Amino acid sequence: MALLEVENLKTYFHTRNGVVKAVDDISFTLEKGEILGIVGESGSGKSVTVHTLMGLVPQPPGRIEGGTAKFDDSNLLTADEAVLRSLRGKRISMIFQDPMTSLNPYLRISEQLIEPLLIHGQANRKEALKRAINMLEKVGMSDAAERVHSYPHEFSGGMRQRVMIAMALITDPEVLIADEPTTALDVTVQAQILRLLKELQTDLGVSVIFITHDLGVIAELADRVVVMYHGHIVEQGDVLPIFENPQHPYTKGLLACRPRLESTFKILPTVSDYLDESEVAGQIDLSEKPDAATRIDAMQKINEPEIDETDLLLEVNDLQMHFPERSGFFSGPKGVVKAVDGISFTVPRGSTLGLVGESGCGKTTTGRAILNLVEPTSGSVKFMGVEIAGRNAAAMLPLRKRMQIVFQDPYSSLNPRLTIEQALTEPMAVHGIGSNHSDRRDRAAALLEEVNLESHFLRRYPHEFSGGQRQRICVARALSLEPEFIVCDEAVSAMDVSVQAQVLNLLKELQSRRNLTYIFISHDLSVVKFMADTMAVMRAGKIMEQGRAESIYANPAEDYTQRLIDAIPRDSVEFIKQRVA
Amino acid sequence: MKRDHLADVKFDEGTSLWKDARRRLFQNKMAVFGLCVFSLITLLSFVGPSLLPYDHESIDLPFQARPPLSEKHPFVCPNHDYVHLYSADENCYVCNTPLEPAATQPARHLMGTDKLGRDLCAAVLRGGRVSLAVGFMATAVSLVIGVIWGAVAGYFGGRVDQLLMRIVDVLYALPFLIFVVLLMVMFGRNFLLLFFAIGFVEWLTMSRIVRAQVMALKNQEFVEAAVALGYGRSRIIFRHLLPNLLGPVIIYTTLTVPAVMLLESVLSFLGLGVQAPDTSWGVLIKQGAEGMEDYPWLLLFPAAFFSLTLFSLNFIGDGLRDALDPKSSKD
Repeated sequence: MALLEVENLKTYFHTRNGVVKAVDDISFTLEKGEILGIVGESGSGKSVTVHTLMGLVPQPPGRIEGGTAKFDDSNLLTADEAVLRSLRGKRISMIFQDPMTSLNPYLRISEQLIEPLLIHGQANRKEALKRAINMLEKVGMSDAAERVHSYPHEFSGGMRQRVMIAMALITDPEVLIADEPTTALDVTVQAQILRLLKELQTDLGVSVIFITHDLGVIAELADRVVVMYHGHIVEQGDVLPIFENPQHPYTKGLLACRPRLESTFKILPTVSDYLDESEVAGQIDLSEKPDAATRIDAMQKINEPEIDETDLLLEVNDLQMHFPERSGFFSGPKGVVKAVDGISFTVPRGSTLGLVGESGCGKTTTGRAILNLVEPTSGSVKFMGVEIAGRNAAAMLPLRKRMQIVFQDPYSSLNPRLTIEQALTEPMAVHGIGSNHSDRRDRAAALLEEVNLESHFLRRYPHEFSGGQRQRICVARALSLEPEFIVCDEAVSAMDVSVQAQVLNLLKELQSRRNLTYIFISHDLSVVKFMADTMAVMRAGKIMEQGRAESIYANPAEDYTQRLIDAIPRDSVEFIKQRVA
Repeated sequence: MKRDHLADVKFDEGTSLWKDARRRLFQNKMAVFGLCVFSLITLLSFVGPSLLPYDHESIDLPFQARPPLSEKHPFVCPNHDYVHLYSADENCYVCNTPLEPAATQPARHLMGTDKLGRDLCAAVLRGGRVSLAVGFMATAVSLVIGVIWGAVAGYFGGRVDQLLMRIVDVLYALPFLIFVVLLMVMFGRNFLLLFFAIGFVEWLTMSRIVRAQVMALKNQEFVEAAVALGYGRSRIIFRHLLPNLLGPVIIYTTLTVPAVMLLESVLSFLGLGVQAPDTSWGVLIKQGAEGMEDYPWLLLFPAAFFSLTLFSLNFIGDGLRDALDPKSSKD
């Protein structure tokens, strides 16, 4: 008998704008001791599904319209609060996406770890603390006994996620629900966490529901897969058949859109290359595009135009960026943090330089220093032969038009009080592009179309768009000044793989159309490999190695680079075959 | 890609955060109630006095300290036109003839009269004018100084911030009353000075609130994008930062208005604020409190108007806070 049996679950949200069928009639089971992966893009209902099971859906506006979720003879959907409380945290635990916000910053982690044990009466304080230390050691904290009394801010993001996992597993639950636990983490940390989860699952025999937007993660971990799209399950089954021979066009698209190190696509396939969505009599009909295979073939890289490596757009020489470190209010600088510690590279016109490294390696500071958003401590940055390091705001103004930046978080990089029209025309007005407002508005409309959005969106506000659309608007805003050079600072890191593929394609397309030069900053080597011609691997403010992207991938000279390569989720069929066997 | 014109494009009209906030504000019953009461009081204070038969200065001699809607009529002696007395069962003290009701009956006093026989209703409405004016003008002064001061300190940070905020600290430390007394001594007693003195003290808290908000906002990527796009500092502060912190500013403002009105009554109480014959709610409450046991209505009416205004402002403030809080918005 299955441990958890979900049948015909329906969760709708009754909003002002009508009923949103977030989860619409889905059924699946979770067997004892297996890892079930639920995959889908944001809005597919995967999170709502598990939140419904945990009784975490806010009601109203949410409402469970039907279905059952049988766990050990009780129906989770109709059980009263007391029963749910005795299950939650004791027999069913959950870990969340953002380790930075899901721990209480005012409580020592020891307090937070023992709390579930005390609440469920499984141990007294002393015993609980012992188990907490034990659990922390299990999740890979070597000096657990000393660090158990620390506060959350004393840990890195990866460590916090380990603490979260320890907290979820400390009561020895039967089911662990992991809601995108690695999405907010670097790929290297993600790889560690995935391996840890796998180990713990084997050790403790817990059943896991793992939610993600990334099929690569599923390939690393899951025994069975449920693919969700718009509140429905479009495909489910064992992991190998799904990867070997996906049936549904959505699954095919999701599999194809992840950039792979070994693939040679010029543009990435996206879900919409496979999936044909048509609405017939109020029912959404999903079918496969007949020409999908030929379309994908056409995306292969064929003899790209050579880049003239002598025509340098950007030369960075011995760039240093130091921040003073203070210990107290009255004391002077204690030392310096060398965020960027003497790096040099060049970027030829029309090419892309990929900057890779883990968070805290100085890659973002490098991007900001190049644009003079922070003033570098020393070193030189030459843009088209002109020195720009140390220029003041007035002297930078003519150059701002030519070099732009796209940020990571599309939610905070647009002013929520301005319409898209205002956001796009304002830079033009500042730099005197366009003769009058209606001319600038026409240009803004053209820009929107260039980033594949419709021009009648101009009067809308940022909060009316999805993350992917907002990032397109950010790209359009950067393009409004017709720059030659754009820094993309983790521009796709916060996105679902399916949306990521669309934005990456857009950036590539714009590059060839406008002969743009990019610096592409990311922690994900596979994305950089897809985008970049040359690549620089950064660690602790220094460049470890740089060169042609393909050759670095083929023969990494540094162990560190090899580690970054190993961190990319392995989703080849061979790997899964090996893992399942 | 260049287009000729957009004349044929039908734009989607977006819902701005303001539109959304307005809708939510009007869904909040308490806030709408507060808004109605407040508008009514404001309207009465500014239009009301001219509709009343009495003004707040003239003394209706036979009607000293009369309760509201007092029914008693004046009586005259038919022989001496000028003798006004109060009761029908008395005779004229000069000629001892019985008194008769006066030919022309005066209008009633809606809220009664004070000890001098002045109409209380006129005084309350007239006082409302002063109190509301002080409340809003002083708040406006504090708003302008506080927002600009705080925004500049927060945006530039570093030394500028240190300097500006230390000035705020020093001003916080000054005893307010001594400061006002000094002002009055130096410039003489003046109605405008009252606005200035109160506003000058109230902006300190506002500047701290704005500074904190700006410091949180300036790390948002859209501000950094604005720098990268080459926008000037004043454009970034006034077009990109300030509109985004109007929420907390508006909320704090609705809390400042009642605080200022209270402060004005304190000053008036000490004889530093509004002086007779002009009046304010604070002055009226003070006077009413003195004769509270014998003439309760003298305290009741100004106090009722004052607290109704405070209540409605607080409801409006609460409603605005809920309406403008981005966390409660639909996404």
